[in-house]
Amino acid sequence: MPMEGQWQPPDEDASSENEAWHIRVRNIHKTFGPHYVLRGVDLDIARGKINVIIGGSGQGKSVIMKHLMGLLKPDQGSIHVDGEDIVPLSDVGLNRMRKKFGMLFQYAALFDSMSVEENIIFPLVEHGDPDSDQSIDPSTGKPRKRRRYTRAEMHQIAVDQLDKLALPQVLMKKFPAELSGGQRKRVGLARALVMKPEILLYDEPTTGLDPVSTKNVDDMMRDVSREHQVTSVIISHDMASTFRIGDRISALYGGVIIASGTPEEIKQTRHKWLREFIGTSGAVQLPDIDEKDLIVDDLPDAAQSPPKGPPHGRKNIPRPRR
Amino acid sequence: MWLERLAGWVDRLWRPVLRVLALLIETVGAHLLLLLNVVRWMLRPPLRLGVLIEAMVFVGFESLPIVLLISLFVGAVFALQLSSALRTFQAQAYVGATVGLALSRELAPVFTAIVVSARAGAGMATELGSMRITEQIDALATMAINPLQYLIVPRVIAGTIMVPMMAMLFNCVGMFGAYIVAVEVQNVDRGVFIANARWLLDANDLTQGLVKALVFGCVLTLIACNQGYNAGGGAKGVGVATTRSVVGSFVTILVLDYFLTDLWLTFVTHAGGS
Repeated sequence: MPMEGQWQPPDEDASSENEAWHIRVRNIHKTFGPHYVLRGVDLDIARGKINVIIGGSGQGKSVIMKHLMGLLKPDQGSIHVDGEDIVPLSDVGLNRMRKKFGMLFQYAALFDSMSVEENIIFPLVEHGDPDSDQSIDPSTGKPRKRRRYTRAEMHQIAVDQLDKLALPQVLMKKFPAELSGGQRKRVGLARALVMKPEILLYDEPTTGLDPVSTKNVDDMMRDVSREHQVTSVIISHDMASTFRIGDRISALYGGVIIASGTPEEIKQTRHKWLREFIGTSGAVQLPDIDEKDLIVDDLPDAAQSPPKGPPHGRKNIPRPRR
Repeated sequence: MWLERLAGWVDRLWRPVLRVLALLIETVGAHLLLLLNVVRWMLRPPLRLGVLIEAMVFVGFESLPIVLLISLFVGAVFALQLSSALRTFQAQAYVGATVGLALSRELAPVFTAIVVSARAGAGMATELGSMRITEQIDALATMAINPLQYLIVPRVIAGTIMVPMMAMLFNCVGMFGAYIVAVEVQNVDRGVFIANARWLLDANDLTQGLVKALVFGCVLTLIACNQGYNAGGGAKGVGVATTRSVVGSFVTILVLDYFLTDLWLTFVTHAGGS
């Protein structure tokens, strides 16, 4: 019997698959020189939920994240965002798709030559009002231009964002170098939120933070996900945070997703490595399982060659008609 | 037996040469591709005028004091050397003309480009390298902003516009320095200095310098941006990118200078009969 309020995995046979899954990754492979990092990743990101990808250092979690936004192209495989395959998209198509995303980087990636206010309003200066009518103008055949904010409107938005994320107004004129790690992450999140994204990506958001700041950032991510109804994808190896806020967890090991499901389902895993990974921190209690029932996953050789033959490489993917 | 040994020697000698050649082709190709991308993104909206003006101020206005100071002393030292050398042939009257020719054709574009690549080029490589390793460039891409269009296009345009403008100022201030030394210190006749300079110098000389400065301005910003944009490996990587940017710019400017001069003399000066 599911717990009250617990998210249920969508029915695979449901006709409204795209409604349930915001992003669907199928069989992506990626090599960097001699290193074969992703070896056929299949991953589903549930719409409107907090999806956490866990895995050890150097396993390719950030590589998956960069693929989701089109910052990297897979050697093979497909990535569907809202039902559209983003792999064959051109730079212009990718920029259109990226407007659905917001991203919080591990160290916030704030522009260090800009003040906090300038950082927060930067996407607004570049793209204008995200609520503007973007429908096709029949007279030009192109999307209508977004309304531009005035300086005063943008300042007010920055003030509101700082308020929402419990940051003092005195930070407005400060520069990123003058902020603490937690403050930087909040400003980074404020910058990601101003464009009202549908999908928010977090790259190890609690790394390097003290336990109190970690809990604050966790609460912030949960609040943002619920209040703004956004799909969250979090990369983490912080097990306490993962099981505290995650609706769905996927475990990456040896370049493939070895387990996916709700936190309760992941706790029942029989994968030996995953049990060690979750259990070592002591933050999560796992049920006892007989040693002989455990699945031992061998870590593949990093230099092993990717599979040969089509479909492989970008040139095999048909480009969309313009 | 000896044939095999000879083949081995040839192979050992050729391998590093081929490696250098491959590296050279790869580097030139990468910069040409970057230039193509810059042109492609330059033609697409939006035109970020504020960012462009900021880049022009950084490349041009902020480099101006050092460029002017150097030009004054380059003109002065050339006048001093030539006064001394030409005195042997009783040809001191040609100091102004010779300095003017050297400045407009060679010294102004080359020195301006070298100063700008040492100051602004190094600054660009460091800034972009630092943005790369702190994921600020990735952050731009995640905000649906093409980093190349936002970061590199304005810098390359700024370099291409500002270096020729500064080279022209270099000419003026350099000639002023030469005039002071030749006329006031070496006692060359004022009228003769000016008359000979006007007689020998023409628009072709100034245009040659202008075209060179334009090419150097574009090339040095491309090299700096390419090094910074593709930096990796933390703080050390940024340092390496900056060093490569400065050294690469110096070498490229001097090598290009020779070929541009050759092309100009062949296709413009001699073809035009001047």
